[in-house]
Amino acid sequence: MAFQKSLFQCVFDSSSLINVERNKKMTVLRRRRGEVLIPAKVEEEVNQPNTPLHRFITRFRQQVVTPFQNNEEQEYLRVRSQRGIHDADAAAIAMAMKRRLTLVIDDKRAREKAESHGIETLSWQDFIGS
Amino acid sequence: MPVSQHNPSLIIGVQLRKARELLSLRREEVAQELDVSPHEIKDWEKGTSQPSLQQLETLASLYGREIDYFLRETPNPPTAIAFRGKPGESLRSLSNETRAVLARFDELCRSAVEFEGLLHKKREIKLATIPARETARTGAHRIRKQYDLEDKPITDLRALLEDAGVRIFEIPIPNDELSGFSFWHEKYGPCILVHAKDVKGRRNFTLAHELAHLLYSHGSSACYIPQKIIEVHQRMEQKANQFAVELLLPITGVVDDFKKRNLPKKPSEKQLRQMSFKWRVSSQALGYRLEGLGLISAGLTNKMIERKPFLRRPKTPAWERRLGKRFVGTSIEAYRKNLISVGKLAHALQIPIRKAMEIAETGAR
Repeated sequence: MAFQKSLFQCVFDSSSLINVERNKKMTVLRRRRGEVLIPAKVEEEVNQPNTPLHRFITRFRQQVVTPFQNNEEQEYLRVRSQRGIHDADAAAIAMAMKRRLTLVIDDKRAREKAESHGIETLSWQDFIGS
Repeated sequence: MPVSQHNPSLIIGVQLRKARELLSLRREEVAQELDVSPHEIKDWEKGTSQPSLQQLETLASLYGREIDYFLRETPNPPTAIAFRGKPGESLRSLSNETRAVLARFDELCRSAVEFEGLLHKKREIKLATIPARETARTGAHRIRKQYDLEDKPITDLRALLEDAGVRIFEIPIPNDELSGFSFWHEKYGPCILVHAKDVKGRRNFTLAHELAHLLYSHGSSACYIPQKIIEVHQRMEQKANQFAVELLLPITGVVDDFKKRNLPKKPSEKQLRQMSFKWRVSSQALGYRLEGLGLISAGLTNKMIERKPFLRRPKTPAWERRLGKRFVGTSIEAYRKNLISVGKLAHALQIPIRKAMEIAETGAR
C-alpha cells in the first residue's frame, strides 16, 4: 500500500519524540507516520546513532522530516529570540504556527510558549491514545 | 531569500559587528568564509540588508555564538583583549577556532547571567582589586589571609573563587594556543576561562595566574603560560606567575612540608610529583618554587618532563567539571522551575538531549 500523508498531521517536538521512544511506542509512530511531521532542527537534535528514533528517521526521512518553507524562517527567528527556548523548540513552534497544525510537545516551558502563540498542543500520551 | 525581508528589525546588525570585532576578524575574511562580498557583510552590519538563515547559521558557527545572539541586544563582549605570553603576537595570531572559543566563553557567561536572572538570583562579588604597586607576594598573602588559608594547600581553588563571585569555565583550546583568559565585565563580573585539556595542576596554576590579572586590573587578558614559567619576560605575566606561585605555594608551608618529607637536594620525579599532588600544582611549578627557595638543585626542574599526574578516573563527568557545579546546578534549577526548555538545558550543559532529560528527571549524572 502506498504511503499517504494524513489530513491530520501534527508537528513533533524533541521531548515528545524521545518520550515515545523511551516508552517503547515506536510501532505506533511507525504505523501513524502519515500524521508525523518532524522539523529538520528537531531531527538534528534527536537523531543520535543506535537509537530507535535514528532507525525510524533513517527509514522514513522523506515522509516525516521537513525543512522550513516560505516565511517559516522569519517566524522561527522571531520565536528563537525569546528567552528560555532553543533551536528545535523554536522550529517546532514556528512550523506549527505557520501551518496551523497541532504541536505534540511535552516540555513545559516550550509548551507554554507555543500556547501563548495560540497553538493547539498535545502530549505524547494524548497523541498515542488519540 | 533574506530571512527578514518583511521585518528588517529581526537581525541586529550591531550584534553581527560586535561578534566579528571581538574575534578581530576583518570583513574580507568573513566574506571569504561565506562566499559573499565584503560590502554585503557591511550592509548586514549596518542593517540595510539581511543574511539568509543559512548564512546566519554559518556566521554563528564562525563567531562561536548562538543564533539568538544576533536577535536581541546583549551586554557588550570584553574589549581590548591583550594577548600575553608570546612576545610580538596579538589576538590575530591565534587560529579562528581558538578565537571562537573566547566567544563561546562569553556565551557561557551570558547564559549564566540569563539563568540567574530567570531565577532572580544575584551573585555577590567578594573580590576586591589590589593596587598595582603592591607586590605579587603581598597580594597573594592578602588573599590567603582573607580566606584564612594560613600556610596550607588550597584544596579547591575553583570552589573558593566561585564562592567569591568569579565565573569559571573550562573549555578545550585548539592546539594549546592559550592557557587561560580573563576579564572583569560590567554585567558578568570577574570571569576566568581555563584550558580544559591541561592537567589539573596546570589548570590550578592558570586559575591563580588569571586571578592575578583580575585583581591587579590588567584588563582582558588571553594568556599562554609556558611550562617553563621562568622563561616569561613580560612584566605583567611575570607578576601574574609570581602571584600564582605565592598563592598556591606559600613559603613557610612548602619549606615545612619539604623538610617533613626529608627530601634530598636532587629528589626523584616521583617524590616531586607526590608533593605537587598535595599542593595541587604541576611538579614543574613546584620544582621552580623549590629551586627558588634553594631547596633543590638549580636546573633540575627544566630536565623534568611534565607527566599527567592524575591517572585516576575523575569522579565527575568531563562536562560537569568543565562547566562547574554552580552553573550546572543553576541550569537544572531553571529547567525544573520551567524557566528553560530541556533543549536549552541540553545545549547549556553541552550534552545530548536524552542525557539532559535523564539528569533533569533523576538527578543522575
